[in-house]
Amino acid sequence: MKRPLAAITGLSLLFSSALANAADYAVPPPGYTPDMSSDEAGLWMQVDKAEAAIKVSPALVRDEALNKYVRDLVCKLAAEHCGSIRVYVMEVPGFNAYMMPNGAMVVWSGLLLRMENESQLALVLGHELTHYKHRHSLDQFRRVVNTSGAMMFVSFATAAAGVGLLGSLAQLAAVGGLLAHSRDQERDADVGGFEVLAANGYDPSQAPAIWRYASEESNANPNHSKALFFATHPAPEERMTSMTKRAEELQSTRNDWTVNADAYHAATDPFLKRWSEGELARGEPDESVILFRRLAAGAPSRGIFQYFLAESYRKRNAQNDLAAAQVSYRGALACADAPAEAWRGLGLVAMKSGDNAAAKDAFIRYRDAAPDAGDKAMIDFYLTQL
Amino acid sequence: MKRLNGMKHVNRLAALALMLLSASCAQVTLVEAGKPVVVGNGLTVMPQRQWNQIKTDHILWTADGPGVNQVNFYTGIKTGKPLFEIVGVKDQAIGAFDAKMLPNDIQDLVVASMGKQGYQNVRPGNLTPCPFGKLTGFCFDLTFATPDGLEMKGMTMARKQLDTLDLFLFQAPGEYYYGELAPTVGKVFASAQTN
Amino acid sequence: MRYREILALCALSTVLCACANVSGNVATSAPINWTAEHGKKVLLIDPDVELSEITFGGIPQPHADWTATAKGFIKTGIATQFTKKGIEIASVDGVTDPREVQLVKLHGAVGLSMLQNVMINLPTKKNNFDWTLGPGVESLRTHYNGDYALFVYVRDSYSSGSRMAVSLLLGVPTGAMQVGFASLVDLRTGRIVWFNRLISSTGSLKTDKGAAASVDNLLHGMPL
Repeated sequence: MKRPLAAITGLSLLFSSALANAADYAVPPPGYTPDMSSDEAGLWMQVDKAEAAIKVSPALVRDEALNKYVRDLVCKLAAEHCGSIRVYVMEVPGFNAYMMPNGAMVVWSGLLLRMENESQLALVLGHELTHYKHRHSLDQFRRVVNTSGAMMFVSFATAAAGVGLLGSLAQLAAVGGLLAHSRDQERDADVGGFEVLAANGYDPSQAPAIWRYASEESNANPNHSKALFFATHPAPEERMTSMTKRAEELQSTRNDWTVNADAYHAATDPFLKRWSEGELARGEPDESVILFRRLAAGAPSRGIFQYFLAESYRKRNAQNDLAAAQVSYRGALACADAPAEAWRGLGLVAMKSGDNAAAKDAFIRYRDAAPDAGDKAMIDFYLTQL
Repeated sequence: MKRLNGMKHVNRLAALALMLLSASCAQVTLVEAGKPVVVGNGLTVMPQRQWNQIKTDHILWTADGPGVNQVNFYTGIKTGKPLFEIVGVKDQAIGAFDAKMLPNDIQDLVVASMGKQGYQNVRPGNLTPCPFGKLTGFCFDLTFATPDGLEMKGMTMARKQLDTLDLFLFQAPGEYYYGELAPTVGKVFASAQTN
Repeated sequence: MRYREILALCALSTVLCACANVSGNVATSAPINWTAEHGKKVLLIDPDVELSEITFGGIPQPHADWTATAKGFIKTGIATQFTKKGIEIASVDGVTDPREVQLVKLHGAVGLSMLQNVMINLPTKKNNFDWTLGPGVESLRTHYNGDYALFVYVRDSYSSGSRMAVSLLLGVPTGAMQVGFASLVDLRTGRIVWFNRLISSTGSLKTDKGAAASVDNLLHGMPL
C-alpha cells in the first residue's frame, strides 16, 4: 500500500504546477453563485447538501428569539454580504463555529455557552465571515484536490456540519494530515475578524480572552487531541499575543466601545441549563471544571454555574474533587436560581463519602424539591440503602 | 475556529460500522429463538426470536444490521476500563468504569461514552432499580441521534457484581424499530441468569 | 445518506470487470396492490445523485453541472418507464416535515444495511427479504397520495486525463465506476418490496441515452 501512495504523492507534486496556481480569490459579490461547470460549483453542491441536512437536523435550535439575535448580529457584521449568509445555531457542545463556502454559517451552542458578551461573539463571527469573504474553503479545496483529493476535504467539511459520512479507514488515517483551514488562513481570519469587530464599535479588549479560554480548557485535559487542533491553527498563545497587541493599538482610537453583555445574556440565558447539561455530557470533566469555574466566577449570584461546576468536580472525581463539589453545591443552593439537582449532587457525594446522614437529608430534600424527577425511583432506592 | 471535533466523532462511528462490517465477514452467526445464549461473564439470556450475532470485543445482536438496531452485551467490565472500545479513541480518553460508581455515575458514563462514539445529544431518563438476574441492578432509557440525524432510543440494564459491571444496551431508531423490538428485548434482559 | 464507501467496497469485487452487475431482491410475501381511489401513483423521493471526476489522486471530485444534468435524465428516465406501465410518478423533493425527514433517514439506515447484506448475509435475512420502514410511512402516503415510494441513489465517476496517466503508470484501475441502488417501499405497510443494486464500469449518465440505459439497469426486476 505504502509505495503506490508515495508514488502518487510524487506525481501530484509534478502535476500540481500545471494546475491552479495561486488563484484570485475575490470577495464574492452579494448573491454570488459559482459557474455550474467550475470546481467551486462541485464544492458548493456538497456543502449545499450538508446545509440541507442541517436544516432538518434534530440538533438545530429553532427558537426564534435566539436565532433572530444571532442572525441580526451576523447581518450587522456582514454588512453588504448579509443577504448571502444563512445562520444556523446547532445544539452541539464544544467551542466551535464554522462557515461553509456557500454562505451557511454554523454556530454551536458550546460557543454561545462560552462567550461572555456580544463583543466576544462578534469577534468569532467576524472571523468566520472572513473565511467566507476570502473564500478560504475554495482555496483549501483546490490545494487538497491537487494532493489528496476533494472527497476527503468534503468529508471533513460535511462531517463537521454533523452530516453523517461513512469515512473510510484511509480517510481516518488522513485526519491528522488534512486540515480545514491553513494556519495562514486562520491568521487572515483573525485579522479580518478584528477589523469587523472594531468597525462595528465592539470593544477590542474583549478579543484576546477567547483564545485564553480555548487554551485553558484544552490544556486542562490530558487527553485533548492537541495534534489535530493545534497542528493547523496558530497556537492560542500566539493569537492571544497578537490580539492583545492589536487591541491596545485600537483602544485609544475611540472611547465609546460597546460590549453589550446585557443583550447577550438576555438572548442566551434561557438555554444555559440545557447547554451546560450538554457540556457535561461530553464526558470531559477536566475541561468542564475550567469552563464552569470561569462562568461561576463571572456571575457569582448565578447558582446554575456553581451547580454545573460542582457536577464537573463530582464527575472528574480526582483528589479533593468531592469536597470541592460539596462546596459548590452548597454555593449553588445559596443562590435564588439553584436547581433542585444540587440536592441530588450533595446526596451522591455524601453517599460516596460514607456520610449516610447527610446523604439521606440531601436526597429527601431533592425528592421534595423535584417530585417528578426522572430518577426518583433510584433516589428512593438509595434511601433504602442508607 | 476549530472544526475537527465533529469530524473525529463521525469518523469514529463510521470506523466502528466498518469494523463491525469487516469483522462480521467471518463472525456473523445465527441466534435461534428459545435456546439460551451465553453472553459473557457467566451470563446467559434467552432469545424470544431469531437474532444475528456479531462478536467483536463484546457480543452484539442485531435484527436488521448494526446500523439499524443493536443489542449490546458488555460484560465483566473492570475498574479502570472503558465500557466499550471506540475505534480511533484511546481507552483513557473514553472514561473508565470504577467499582465505586453509583448508578447515576454509570448512567453518566454511558452518556459520555456514546457521545464519544459519535452519537449526538445523548440524554438519559427514567433511572430506576430493576432486577438483573437474582440481583438488583438498574435500568435507564436514552434518547440520541446518529450523526445523520436519525433519532434513536435506547434501553439499558446494568448491574455491579464483585467489582465488575455488566451492561446490556439496546438501541434502535425511534421510528418503528424501537417500539417494535423493545418488548422482546425487554424479555431478553429479564431472562438474564448467572450460570 | 452516505453509502459511498460501502458501495466502493461492493465495487471492489467487480472493479476489473467491464460489465454491469445487477443484484436484485423482491420481497416474497408482499404482494403488489394499488389503492383504487387515486390511481396508480409512485412517489419518487428526491434521488440522491452525484457525478464526479476521478482526479489523479484517485479520489472523486464532485461536478455540479454533470450532476444536475444526470439527475434530470434519471428523473425523466424513471418517469418514462413508469408511465409506460400506466403509473404516475410524483416527485417528492425537499422533505421538511420532521416525521417524513425521519422516515427518509430511516430508509438511509435500512438501505445501507440492505447493501451490506449483499456482501455479508445476515443469517436471519437469508432467503428472507423482510426489510421494512414500519407502518409510519402511512404519513407519506396520506400526504402525497401515493401507494409506493421509490428511493434512488447513484454515484457515477469519470476519469480525468491525469488520472488515466496515473493508472497507466502505476497499473492501478482508474476507479471510474457507476454504482447505485433503488428500493421500492409499500406505503401502507412500510415493507421494502423490492431492492436492486447496480455496479457498472460502463455506461454514462452524461447523455440521455446512456442515462436511459442506466435507469433500465437500475429498475431491473422492479415488480410494479
